[in-house]
Amino acid sequence: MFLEILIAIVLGCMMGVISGVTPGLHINLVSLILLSISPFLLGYTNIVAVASFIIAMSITHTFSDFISATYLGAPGEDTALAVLPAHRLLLEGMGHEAVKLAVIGSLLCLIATIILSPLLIIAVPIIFAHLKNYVGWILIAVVALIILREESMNKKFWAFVVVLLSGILGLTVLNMPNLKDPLLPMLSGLFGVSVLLLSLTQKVTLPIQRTTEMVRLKAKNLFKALGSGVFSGSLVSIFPGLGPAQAAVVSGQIVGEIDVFSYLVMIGGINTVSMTLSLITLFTIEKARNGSIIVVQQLLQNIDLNSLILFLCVALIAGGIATFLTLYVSKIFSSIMNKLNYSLLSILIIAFIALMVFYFSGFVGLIILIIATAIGLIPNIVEVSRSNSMACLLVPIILLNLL
Amino acid sequence: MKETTLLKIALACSLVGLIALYFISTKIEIKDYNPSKLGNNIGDDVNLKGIVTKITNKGNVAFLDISQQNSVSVVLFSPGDNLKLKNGDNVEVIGKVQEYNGRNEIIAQKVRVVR
Repeated sequence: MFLEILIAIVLGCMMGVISGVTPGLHINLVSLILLSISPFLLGYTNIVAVASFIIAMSITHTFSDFISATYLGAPGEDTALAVLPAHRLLLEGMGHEAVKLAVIGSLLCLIATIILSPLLIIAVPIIFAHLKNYVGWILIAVVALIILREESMNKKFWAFVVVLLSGILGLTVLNMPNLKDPLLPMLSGLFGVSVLLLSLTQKVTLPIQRTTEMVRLKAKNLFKALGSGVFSGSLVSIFPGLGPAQAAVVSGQIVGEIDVFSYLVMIGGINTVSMTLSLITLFTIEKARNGSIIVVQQLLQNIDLNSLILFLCVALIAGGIATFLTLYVSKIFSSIMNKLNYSLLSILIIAFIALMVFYFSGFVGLIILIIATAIGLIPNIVEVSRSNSMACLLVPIILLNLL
Repeated sequence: MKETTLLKIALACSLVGLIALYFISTKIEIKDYNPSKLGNNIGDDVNLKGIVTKITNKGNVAFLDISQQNSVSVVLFSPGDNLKLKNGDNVEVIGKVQEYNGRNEIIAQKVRVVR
């Protein structure tokens, strides 16, 4: 059993790096593929090893998806808000630093979550029972805060327009019948293609990427970022419908102003914590909060305490391996970026995203991609925060909770 | 934070995880199901080996009778490929024991033919 699980972890980590680096490939999509091939995998090994493979892959994906968000400007749901500061660091020659910061957040928050897991096993059902009815109201307050924190009345107005347009887009797209993978065209347009198009029009040339050994982080800011990472990640795994991006917005409002470095640490942490904690929510309240855990649930039904401890060990090992793999692959990307024509690369990535969208979501997906890209350009033109566009996910969840 | 420090933390993480995994993996086992001890296994994950003696396929659910010394009822939801079974096949069933109408049956997660 030990050896089978070990092999599953190593294979899962390798697959997680591939899925994380591929632009636009969300872990939920990978999980669906895994669910369809799980009967085949079960022919060769046992259920626990297959579940370990899925968990190792998902944890690694939360580390490595910052590579595509940073170097390729192609975000997923988890990295939508990170792509902007990460991309900014890339344009300052600090792409590897951006990835490293997210990895610091992922690894340290993973360790913190595992240390806190005995407490969380007790706390999760209590928090869930008390707060589950208030998610909609909390998110309305978040949206209001996002708009109100803009400086002038003019900007507040434009922030409201962006929230409105993104919200309508989200509602329409998420309620479209027979549309596969609605998040892929919507988020790629709002946060990926629009950013790449702006880089193209501004004729951005990448400076030489450096890979320094040291990233300077103030201890106070690091702890603040790690604390809010664990807190927001917990929100994601406890509350139905709440994704890492929404939790990051909530956290952003709670912690207030933090520097770009700490912000990336926080976003890195949220994704990994939410993935790890969803194992605990599966154990405590028997709810699967994301695609990978749904597959694990389908395989194992519910998990007992021994299985939970085993899967937390799998997550810890995968986190360690993912740190090495992600930093290694990031260095390769960093050295390649210096030799590439960035404009050409941006065009190729836009074409690749369009192809992925067409393959998974069809012609309707392409139209959504174009509309989302148009809306995604507005924040830059009127100079308001791009996180206003997260209303595309916040508004549907608010309505889902209140209606 | 230095990159080497980060990598050392990652290495320590993996080693602690490996040691813990080694010990916990010895505690995880899928028990062989013995139908002669009816009532002792409700809610447990079990592994049952035996011969298929009856197959009733109702589309989204299939009922199998697996014979060891006694016959055991196995329920398989969304059968898919697993229904390439025939009477007399030697199979291994992994699933959970549940009580239904006073009888124990296994809700199968996986049925595979053992050659």
